[in-house]
Amino acid sequence: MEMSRVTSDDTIAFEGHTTIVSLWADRCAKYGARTCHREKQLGIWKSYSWSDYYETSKKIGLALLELGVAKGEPVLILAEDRREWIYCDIAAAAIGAIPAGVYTTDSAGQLAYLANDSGARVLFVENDEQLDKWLQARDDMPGIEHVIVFDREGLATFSHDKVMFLDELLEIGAKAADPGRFEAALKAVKPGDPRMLIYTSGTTGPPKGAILSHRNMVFQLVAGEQMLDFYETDNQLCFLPLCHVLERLVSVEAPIANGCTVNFAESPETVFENLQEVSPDTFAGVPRIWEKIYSRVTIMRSEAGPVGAKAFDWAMHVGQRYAAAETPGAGLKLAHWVAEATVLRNLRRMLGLASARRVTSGAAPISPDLIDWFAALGVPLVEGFGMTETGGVATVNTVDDNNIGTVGKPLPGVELRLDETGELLVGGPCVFAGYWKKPEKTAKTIDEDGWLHTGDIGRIGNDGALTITGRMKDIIITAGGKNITPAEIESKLKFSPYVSDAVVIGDKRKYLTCLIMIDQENVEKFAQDRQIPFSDFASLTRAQEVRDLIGEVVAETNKQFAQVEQIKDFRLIDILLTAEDEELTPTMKLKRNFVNDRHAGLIDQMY
Amino acid sequence: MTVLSVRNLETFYGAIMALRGVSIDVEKGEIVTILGANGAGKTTLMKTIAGLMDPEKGQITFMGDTIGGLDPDRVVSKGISLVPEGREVFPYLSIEENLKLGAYTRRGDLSNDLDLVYTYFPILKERRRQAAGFLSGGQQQMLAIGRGLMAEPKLMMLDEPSLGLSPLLTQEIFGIIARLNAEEGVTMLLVEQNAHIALETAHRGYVLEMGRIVMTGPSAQLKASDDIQEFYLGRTEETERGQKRWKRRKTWR
Repeated sequence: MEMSRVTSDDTIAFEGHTTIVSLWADRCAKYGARTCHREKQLGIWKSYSWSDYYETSKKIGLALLELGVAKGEPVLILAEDRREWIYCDIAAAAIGAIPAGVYTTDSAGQLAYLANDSGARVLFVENDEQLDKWLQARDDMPGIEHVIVFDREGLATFSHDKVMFLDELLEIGAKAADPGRFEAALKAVKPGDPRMLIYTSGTTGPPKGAILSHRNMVFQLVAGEQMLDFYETDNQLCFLPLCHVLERLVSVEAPIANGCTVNFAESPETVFENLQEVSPDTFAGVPRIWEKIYSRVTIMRSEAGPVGAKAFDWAMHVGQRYAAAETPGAGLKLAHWVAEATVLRNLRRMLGLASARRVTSGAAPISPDLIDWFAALGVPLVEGFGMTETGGVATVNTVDDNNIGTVGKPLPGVELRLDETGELLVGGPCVFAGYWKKPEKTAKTIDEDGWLHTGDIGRIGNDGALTITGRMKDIIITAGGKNITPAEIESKLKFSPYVSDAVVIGDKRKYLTCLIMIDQENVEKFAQDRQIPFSDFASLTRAQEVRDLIGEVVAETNKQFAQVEQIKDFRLIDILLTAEDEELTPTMKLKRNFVNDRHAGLIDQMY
Repeated sequence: MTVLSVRNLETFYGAIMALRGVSIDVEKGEIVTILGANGAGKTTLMKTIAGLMDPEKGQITFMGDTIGGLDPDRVVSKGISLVPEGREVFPYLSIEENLKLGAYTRRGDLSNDLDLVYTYFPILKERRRQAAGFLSGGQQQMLAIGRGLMAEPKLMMLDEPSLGLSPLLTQEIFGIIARLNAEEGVTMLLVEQNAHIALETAHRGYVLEMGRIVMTGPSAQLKASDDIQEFYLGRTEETERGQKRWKRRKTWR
């Protein structure tokens, strides 16, 4: 066994660059006036070049130096995805500071926690709404010395000695006495230096800041290039929070390496419209997005009338057979050609997936049925696995070698191992550098041999492909002593367009039950189509027909599982949860622990 | 006893779907209010119940009978009267003629009803021979309510009685509405932009947004909701800056 996997050698380089920022400076110089980012302003897509990227980031970096930001000092960014986010991110990293994102759905209290935990002195905020969070809790985060606001709107008369606007910051950068300081600082960044601090949403306890080094991220780029194809002409859509490691890797690091253009979605609510407009070549999503697209199409089919629905069913059936066939026969080829020309191609265009060469799903388990469904539609959806602590991606399927149901093979250089308890261990240059100011937590996560203890359980196939079956701490041990991993059951339940998310319960109980969050849009439509009276969301969840509908989904799911894995009873969560609620992660997934606490009453009804 | 029950009502203006499945109930003796922003579908709901518009889908049941799609005069004779938005009195007719027109669908002696209206609105008695067009806005609103009462309705629907009235007059009109309900037992369905006074007066409320009910409950519960406070009652959270331009996300709970 090697001595330590954490401090691997420094030879990991992408085209000679061992840090993200030196690669970035090189790419900006190379691409110059080419379009790098696109953002929609007042309904019109505007382009911004690689030169804009460099010049603006340089000004921000110089200004941060003028403000006295030191090497190794965290800088917080609280904004929705937009190009300024990325400018500030790269600017901070380039001068050796450590950018850390804050979710816009976080409360003032959570912001104060992150400010204190990181020790940041500089906080970037998007607008008046986010500024109010600092104002509200500023006494609890005395360490913040400078707040920089992106948008002036609504703040015309506002002034505070700690607050300035981004244009004022740029002014400071433009006037900096020694502009060469920026490049000097950039060159001084070492591969082992922190590139970013990612706060993990933490289903238990307060969030922890995971430090990812430049080496970690350069490794991702090197490995990604070996497994996946990228082109300079590719368009991407950025819509998941940039605070999350996956979106940061996909929308900041990868485009730097590969020269792709990043288009920003206007808001989380307009993702589907923006997807249509951009029609990206590659697209990274979370299962929720794919589930939403699936349910939209399912609803569209039900509204298409008998002929349309028949045509759709036929085309999807042909698509399915075609996708499953090793070498399709001439008849199938012809049928598939007709299906493509009449239904599938149009459908993909409507969804904005017409140009999609590869779409990926990560961050949470996705149902294999859903991947098959997208394959039938002609959308190559591949699943990967990774976590913040592995720098984003640890394993991934490829379009040519898509082992559906697994999360793919490890990136070249990544080692996988299962310990005696079945826990997945990951080794290699992808393993993160440790938790910020939490050596005891780091020691618990990375053992002395350098293996990262993921907390996931899984199995490794003969071909090396990994299957994740659940989380260690989620394992349900029923009163009868059976071990059950709820994730598989939950992902089957979520395959229904009427189920938004589900949590299976049964630890130390006689049998399994589950709490279900219904999909508001689709269930409302179901109720209205069948003239089932309801007024607000709670009354919708109380309607007998809706309960019967979900009951059928549960019964259907039960058929696919063994006797001990049967769900005996279920309840619907009767409040409409939003991303601000503690029960949901920013990616709209239910958090098991919070759900168990908050809805203890509903759970007890079932036992 | 349920006086009015609306189930999954859908109403269109041409291709535009104004009501997207509305279900409400009004119990005997209640004042039920419907809150909503401009264009939420409040007036459309009133007009559909009154028979001025035909529903595309859904049922309207009044005192056990289905009334969806009936002509307005049939709806009135069943016992629903609508006090329309903007009062719509007949300006060239006298006040008493206006009131008598309210009882057009029924026969018999009107003097008791006139007395009742005059008791609640003494100013109308004073000016009963004058043309209604000479009345002030507040008095016209009183006349419109009086005209609605003349039909001896089992359910009175009031569409924005506070429209164009001064705060003081609004208080007065709503005081009378509350008295009519308490003393005469008139069941009322009240549509109102002035959420503050509507929630003071009504027993229960529904919140209509984009043609759908998003929230329902007793007035006290609605008044306590953060969403209602911010979006309907105009509460502004005190921020350091003394102003707040952004809106919290609505959760309706």
